[in-house]
Amino acid sequence: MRSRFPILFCDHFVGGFRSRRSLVLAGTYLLGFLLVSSVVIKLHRVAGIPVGEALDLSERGAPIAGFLRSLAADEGSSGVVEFVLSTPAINLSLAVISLALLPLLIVVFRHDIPSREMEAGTLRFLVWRVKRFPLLLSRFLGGVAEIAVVTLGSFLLVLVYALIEIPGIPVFKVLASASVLWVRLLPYTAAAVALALFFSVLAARSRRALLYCCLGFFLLLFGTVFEAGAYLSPFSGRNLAGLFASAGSWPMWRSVLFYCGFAAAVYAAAQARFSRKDL
Amino acid sequence: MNGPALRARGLTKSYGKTPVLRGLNMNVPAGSVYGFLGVNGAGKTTTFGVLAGIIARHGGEFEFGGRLGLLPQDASLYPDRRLFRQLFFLGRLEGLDRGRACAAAESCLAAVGLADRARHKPPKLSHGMRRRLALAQALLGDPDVLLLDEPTAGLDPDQSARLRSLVAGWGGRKTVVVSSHLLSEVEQMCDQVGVIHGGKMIYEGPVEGLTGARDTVVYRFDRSPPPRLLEGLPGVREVRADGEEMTVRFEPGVCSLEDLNRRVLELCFTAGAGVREIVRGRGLEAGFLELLR
Repeated sequence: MRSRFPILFCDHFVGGFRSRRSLVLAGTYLLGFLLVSSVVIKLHRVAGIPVGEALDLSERGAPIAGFLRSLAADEGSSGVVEFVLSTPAINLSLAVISLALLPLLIVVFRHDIPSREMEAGTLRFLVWRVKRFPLLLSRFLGGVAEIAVVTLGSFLLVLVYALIEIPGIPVFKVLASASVLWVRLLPYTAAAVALALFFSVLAARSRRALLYCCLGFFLLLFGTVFEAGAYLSPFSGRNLAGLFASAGSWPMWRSVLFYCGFAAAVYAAAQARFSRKDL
Repeated sequence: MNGPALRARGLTKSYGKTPVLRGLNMNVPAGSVYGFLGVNGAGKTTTFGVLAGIIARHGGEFEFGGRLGLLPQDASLYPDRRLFRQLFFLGRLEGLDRGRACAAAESCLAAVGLADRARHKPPKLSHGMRRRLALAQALLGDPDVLLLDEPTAGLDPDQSARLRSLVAGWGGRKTVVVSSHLLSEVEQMCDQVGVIHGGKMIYEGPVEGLTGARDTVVYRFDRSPPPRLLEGLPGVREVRADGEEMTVRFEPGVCSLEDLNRRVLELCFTAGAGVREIVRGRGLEAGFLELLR
């Protein structure tokens, strides 16, 4: 039998835009970005730090340099500081706001997938036509794709904003750096989507799923106090180190592997629960 | 009739510690319209769910002799999609290519009288129309076996009658299993019936076997008949009188219904009792209630 996965995937992905969920998500994300970016740009101007260029940490930026060096010392990677220092300041703010905002947006906009479908009984029209594995996989990968497209769109719009706001910004350098950030955010996005999916399947009711997801993410953030959980924290130096470490370096791969491994494990748990769920 | 279109053996399912199906067996002959009856909580919807894979079973096995179509109970389609789009998508999941899925969506909407609403979204439809939409999706891909869980729930009398005639028209071509609480409806539509009680099948066979249409006749008199009116008639096995009504069970091999009616009318004429109505069989409801007792 021909695989129904592409049909399910496309339907879920397009369905996000059709139901305006993706657009609202993008709008909220973009709004957060613009707010933070405008504040960052203003701060940089006040502090006399060039926004479009890499950070100048010689005088007023010294505390930031100290912070970054302490991260690098924790990480044991000398390449991290150099990478961060060569990253345009606007992209650094993009990365930080992404890490902080993405889990919240995913909780709000994806906690009810597929619990809402279970609640309404919509899935009953699907599960006797297709196997449960591709059905849930489409919800997972469709979700990752949706968030990826939304973040990419928002990144580009913020860069357009920066272009208008900061004359003479080195466009290609900023764009290249933003692309690297976006690619490295994908495993983090996948982990967050998998987590929302798992709690949604577990709860099977939309409101309960929201509560579960909020508690789940709170526990995760709390868990990042411990070293083993540090990689999923938007407030962890390790996370930034993973995001900004030079391509091919061990910190980067460790970060990517950690996120992907976490996403795969949580998704497998969701799949196991979903396969035995009475709909 | 050919072989069974649906055969289930020893289906079991529990919710927590409460068993719902306790070794349910089911044989639905191909081409039949099969009424699946039971009181509330008997396990009808659970059985449909298990057969469709919506509900995980704990034991037993089943097989279908063809493609399945399902009308689930209390389920709604996507509220943000137009009717045609929904059916097109589900048709694609049935394995139809784009052209055939398109044609199937149009024909199924027409079959349930919703062709003119193809561009509407479900929230704009009445409950009955949504039920018909759900039925339309069950017809996609021309299934051989249809499981319809309370198909007329929420439909007006006109729509119910249309649906009954639609289902009756499938008899012989498709196998239809209908779950319903409306026994008169089942009696009109179905030729086979299964009764589930306490998670087990307690009757399965022709509708006549439950209604007694082959060997039972009910006479309604205009006043209470003499108590021993039919005593001693050849072929009469049992006579049960209840006010102005008398239920007679006879042996078809010994006495035909026509002979029995003639003899009864003669006796009534002699006794001065007028016959108001003669009904073949005691009715599905009476048979069903007696079976449960």
